[in-house]
Amino acid sequence: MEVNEVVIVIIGGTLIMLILMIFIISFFFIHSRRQQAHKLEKAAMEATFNEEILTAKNEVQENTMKHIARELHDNIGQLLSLVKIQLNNIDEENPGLKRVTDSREYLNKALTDLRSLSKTLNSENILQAGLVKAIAFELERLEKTGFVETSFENQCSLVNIEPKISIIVFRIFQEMVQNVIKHANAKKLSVSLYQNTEVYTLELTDDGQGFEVEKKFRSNGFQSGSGLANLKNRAELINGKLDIASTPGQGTTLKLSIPINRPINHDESSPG
Amino acid sequence: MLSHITEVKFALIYQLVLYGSMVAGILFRKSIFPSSRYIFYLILITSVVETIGLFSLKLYDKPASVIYDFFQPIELILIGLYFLGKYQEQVNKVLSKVLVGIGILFLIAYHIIREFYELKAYYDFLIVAFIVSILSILFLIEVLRYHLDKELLKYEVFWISTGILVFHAGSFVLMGTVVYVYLLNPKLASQLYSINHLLNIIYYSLITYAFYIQWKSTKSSSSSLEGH
Repeated sequence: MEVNEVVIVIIGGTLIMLILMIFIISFFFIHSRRQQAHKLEKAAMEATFNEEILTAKNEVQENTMKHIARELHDNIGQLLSLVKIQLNNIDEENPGLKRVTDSREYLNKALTDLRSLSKTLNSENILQAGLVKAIAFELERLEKTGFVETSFENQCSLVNIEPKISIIVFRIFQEMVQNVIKHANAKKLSVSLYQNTEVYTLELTDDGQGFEVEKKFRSNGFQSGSGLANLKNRAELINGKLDIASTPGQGTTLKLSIPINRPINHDESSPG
Repeated sequence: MLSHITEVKFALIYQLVLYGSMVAGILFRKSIFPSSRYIFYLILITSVVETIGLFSLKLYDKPASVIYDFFQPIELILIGLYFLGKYQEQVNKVLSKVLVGIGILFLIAYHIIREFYELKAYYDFLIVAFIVSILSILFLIEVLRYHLDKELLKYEVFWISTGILVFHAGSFVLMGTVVYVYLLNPKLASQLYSINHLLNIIYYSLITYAFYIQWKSTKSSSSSLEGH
């Protein structure tokens, strides 16, 4: 009997420990599986959320730009045209006044710039002209400002990109150009568009002061590199990729890859 | 003789583990989260009750059953309050209140009726074990729903709940078995009951571990704050 009790305790204890172990291991297993699923779900939700935010931002930006373009064209453009008529009248009444002639020249230039700016701001114009022409037009406009000397080489015979994506690509391009003007201190900007098997690549190379890419993304917190990060995010939004190569003192190259095998709208784009 | 020694040994180990848990609770009391304090109070009360029970057994050679009658509702209330503070789902909160309420009413009625009629002393034990097991199962299900961001090894509530479940569900099954075996072989039934000490040892060991990880996490978070 006495031995019996020891045996009972041993068997009972072993059983309890076994059940406890099975319970804990099973619980850990189920918990970790659910945890993985939860993490994946959370990451997917975050990605969708970020994508939606970015899309909304783009839409807001497009609407704002369209509004500004319309204001520039319809209101300010009209006002300047009225001023031009007034100047013409003055010129007819008092011919040969140098101040009037000069003013009319400046005014003509302002009107041309204003119309160009209005065109690049309005996404409908971009869609109408096509991505290649829009890029060429933007570079031409930039060249006229005298900030930087530009060149554009288009190696694609036909660019087939969905219109919505075309606009995003063009806005990314505009922002990259803005970055060159604001930060690069460059004299030359070369742009090329070429096609590989799976992607179109839009490449911008400047001869500016360059920067340390890693350092730019890593250092000094909130603002630093946020413009570039934003560009990268926008590139990801169209399933694209933005590669940045830069060395201090040796300029910068930005490569935007745009996948070809996206849903394509057939009315897009014309050869450059 | 050996039977008696085994019984005493297990009872002694259980007492030591219980006191160890109490000492750990006292040492780490500042780091115990508010709702986990109910478990600390439960251990303090259990230690007192078990000490009185032990002395009663030694001095008068019979268990202090009156003390245990008072202890059972207190245990049920403290565990109920503990889980009430941990549940996320409103249904579980209501259910825990209802179950504990029913349990308390049952215990009071049972103890009163027992004064007049001869009732077996294990029904109260079984009902408490059953209710507490349900409460801990409800919480563990919530862990799989709402606490997926937690690392279980460092999640003290999981270990406390596991301890509670193992002890009470184990006791429920054990008591049922003992009652059944008692009808066939009373001696074997009393031998079987010594397994209860093992369950107690596991229960209080897990609670001690939970107190320890709670203290450790509080310590590491406060030292990281100091670092800043």
